[in-house]
Amino acid sequence: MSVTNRLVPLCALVALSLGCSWARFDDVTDNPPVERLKAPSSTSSLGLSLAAHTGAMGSSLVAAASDRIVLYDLGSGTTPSTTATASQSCVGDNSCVLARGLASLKSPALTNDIGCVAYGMGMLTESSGTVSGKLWLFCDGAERRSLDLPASMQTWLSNRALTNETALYLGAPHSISALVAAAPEASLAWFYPSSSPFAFELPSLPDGKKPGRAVAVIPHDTGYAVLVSSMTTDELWLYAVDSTPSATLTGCIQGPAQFGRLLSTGNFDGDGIDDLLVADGTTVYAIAGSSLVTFSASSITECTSVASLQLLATASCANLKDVIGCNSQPFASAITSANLDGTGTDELVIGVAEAVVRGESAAGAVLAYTLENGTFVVKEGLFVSSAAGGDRLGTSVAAVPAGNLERIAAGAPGDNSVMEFFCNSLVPAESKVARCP
Amino acid sequence: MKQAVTFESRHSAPFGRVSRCRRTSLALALACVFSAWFLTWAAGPALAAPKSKEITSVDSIRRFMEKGQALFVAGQYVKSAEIFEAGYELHPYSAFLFNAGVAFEKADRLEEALVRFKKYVEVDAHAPDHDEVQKRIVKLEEAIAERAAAEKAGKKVKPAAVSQEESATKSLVVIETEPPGATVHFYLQVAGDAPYQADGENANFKLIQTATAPVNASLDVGRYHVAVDKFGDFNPSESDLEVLSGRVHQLKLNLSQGAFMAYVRVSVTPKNAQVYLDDPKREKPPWGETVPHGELVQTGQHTLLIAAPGYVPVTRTLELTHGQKEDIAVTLERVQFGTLRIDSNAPQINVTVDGRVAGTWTKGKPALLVENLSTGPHQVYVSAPGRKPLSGTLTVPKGQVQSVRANMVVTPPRGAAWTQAIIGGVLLGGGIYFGLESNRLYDELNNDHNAGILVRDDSRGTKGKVYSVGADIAFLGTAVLGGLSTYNFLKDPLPPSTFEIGKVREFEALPKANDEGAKP
Repeated sequence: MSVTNRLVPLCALVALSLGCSWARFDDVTDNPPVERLKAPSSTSSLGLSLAAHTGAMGSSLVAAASDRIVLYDLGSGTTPSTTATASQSCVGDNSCVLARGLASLKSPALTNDIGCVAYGMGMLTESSGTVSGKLWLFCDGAERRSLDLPASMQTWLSNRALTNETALYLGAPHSISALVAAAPEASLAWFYPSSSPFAFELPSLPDGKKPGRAVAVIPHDTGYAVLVSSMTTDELWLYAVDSTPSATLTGCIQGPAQFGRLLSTGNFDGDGIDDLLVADGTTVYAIAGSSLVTFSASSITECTSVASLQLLATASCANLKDVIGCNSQPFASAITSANLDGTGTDELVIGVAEAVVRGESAAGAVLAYTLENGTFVVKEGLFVSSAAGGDRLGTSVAAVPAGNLERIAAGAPGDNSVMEFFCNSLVPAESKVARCP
Repeated sequence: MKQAVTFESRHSAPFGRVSRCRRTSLALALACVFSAWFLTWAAGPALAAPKSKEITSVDSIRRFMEKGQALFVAGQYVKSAEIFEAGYELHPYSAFLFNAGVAFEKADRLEEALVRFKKYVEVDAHAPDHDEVQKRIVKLEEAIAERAAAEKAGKKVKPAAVSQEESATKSLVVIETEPPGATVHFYLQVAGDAPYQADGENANFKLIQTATAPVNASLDVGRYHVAVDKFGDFNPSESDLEVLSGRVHQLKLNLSQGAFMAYVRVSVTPKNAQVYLDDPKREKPPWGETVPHGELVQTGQHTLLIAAPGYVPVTRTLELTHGQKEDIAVTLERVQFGTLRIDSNAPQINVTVDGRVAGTWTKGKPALLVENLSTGPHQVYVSAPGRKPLSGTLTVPKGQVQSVRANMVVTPPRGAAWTQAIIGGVLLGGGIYFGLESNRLYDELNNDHNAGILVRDDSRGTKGKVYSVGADIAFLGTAVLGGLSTYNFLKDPLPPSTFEIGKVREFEALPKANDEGAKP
């Protein structure tokens, strides 16, 4: 064999061993554990807030962008549509201003048992020429619906020119059967119980305090515990709503700086009553829902310290191998609960939009905590492999129903995208999909 | 006591003429020097002329005879005849008349030929071919008559046919003795090649003429033996003589009285040997430059040095007595060394023989001589800038010069191969880099996949693919260019450099006397 003939197979061997086939990259990226839900054209800052629910076609996810909401049909399998199914414009004028946070809603009385997402409010001019204020819903089938605003809000709106600065906060229980809303500028908060399409106003906060910033609802056997944080103080006000329905201000809870800036609910203690998640600047508190349902302050004007409540646990920042989450101030940018492991209790999911990931500032990450022996233990630090500075992943988080468990979706407005994480270390082996290692 | 001394002498002469002299002498009577000093073109007295007429104007005779013969050979017979006649007018030798007749006959001018032949027999009544010429005259007369009859009858006249034998011209042979008056016999060799034997039967020789020296004979082409009878106190002498067409041969016989001498003849192989008598340092011209060589020499002790270029010289010591004839035959042995004579088609070559630098040869200069090489095979290496090196085994002959031409073939250009190799190397480096980067990115993506954080459109996937494709292309390019480069490095469309073995030449000169190492 000549020298030339020897060189050819040698070079081929070297080429195969070093260059190899480019197809291997397809093998590893074709079925990734994270799907990027792409923003429609002309959409910016997708992922400012998220809301998920189960619809007729499986899971649906609604993400808010700067001037619209975008609907994604995630389906029930592992191959979601990564492009938007529909979108609804909300440009920040009188017709529509976006809520600071989306809230899923589904009840026979409110949505005809169709999965919807409340996303904003605005003035609706009927064909008859009547103008009225509406709370906008975006429902399955890309149908826009509305709920009437309470009378005081109608009045307030009729005298206002709405802008993007007009804040609207929405909150729903984990069961998404009711809805609470707050408009700090109007100093109004109102509530839609699951049994009626009509909202009723929540009593005003004392001393002219403005409700808003965050709202939450904890349903229970006889009514709801509605929680509204104060815009100007580090207080969380608690309403008791009965089936009349009527609401009573039952007290307030006070915490450290920025206490109540984020609210969410979830079942952490397994008692069947949603527990409350409250975030301040550095800590996320899990307060037993049972204690809030029966909460009754001795004095309305005197708030109870959060420390004196029945705290299930608190979660604070964590630094992981590729994630530095403790540089963020405030720590949590979004919180939610999700049943990641398929058990009866939820896990705490905290979005840390300012987290440094692999050296990329504000690339953002999502931390998953489990409640173990009265302590939240961080189990997972999720981010995306393409993390880039300013993505701000974790600006919003949502629990996407997926069978008997839930997956995490996180908004990255800096990347103008929403990520759906199919895998994490909490997913039991029998529930792992092909995307997961 | 009668002692026969036989010797041979050969002289180079125009037209390759050879004379052979044989002499028999009585040891106590005389020393006869029968020297064929030279055979030359000379004029002598015509055979019909008084014998006392001195031979003069040799050059003039030679010019007429030579010019006439040249015209004759060129086919210009009339002009040839005119020249022969003009020669006869100045130097009345019958050979001119005969040759003029032959020339006229060849020119088909029979009447004029007839006149010359008749005059020839008239002026040289004792010519050996007198009878043959008479017959030729008759034949010519008949031919003339036939031609006249034919012309009268109006028939076409055919040119006369002249046989090849009849076309031969005669030569003039002049024999002189010192002192004159000796009787000279001419014997023509009529059969065979055997030389004339002084004491033998010699049936193949016929006596054609006897005359008294000086004698001028017009002789036909042939081999003759000339014998000189005992004359006074002088011994008889004899010599062989080969007569060529249209020549003038002159032979002088010096019969002198003196001391008794010995005769030495040396035969040497090879023929170009030189013989030095009593001259071991070769300070004088050779005693004999062509061999065999024989001469009378003084009696006593002599030393012979026999040498030839390329041969081991031989020295012989002789002790000669009066009248002794010594025949010495020597075969020289070749020396055990030789010379390589190397040149090349390249402008310059460097030559190494057996690993030692032998020298450099440059075009335009004499060939490189690598001397004093032992006979037998030698490893020769030749290099030249821009040419394929040449290595081979050359055999050095004994005592000779082996001519060798190194045909140095141009080295094929390797520029393309180097370019391909360099580009291939760059591609290989690029391929390795791309491959390693591709592997690194793949590992990163795989790790991220296993960590559950890999997103589909991770830019590293595209980047890794590009690197993979780049690596594969680079490796493919490397393989192709590597193959091409290797091929172009190995490819050699030109033949290798070769030795062209030339003729083996003899050494041109003898070595210096001090170097020759003569051996007895």
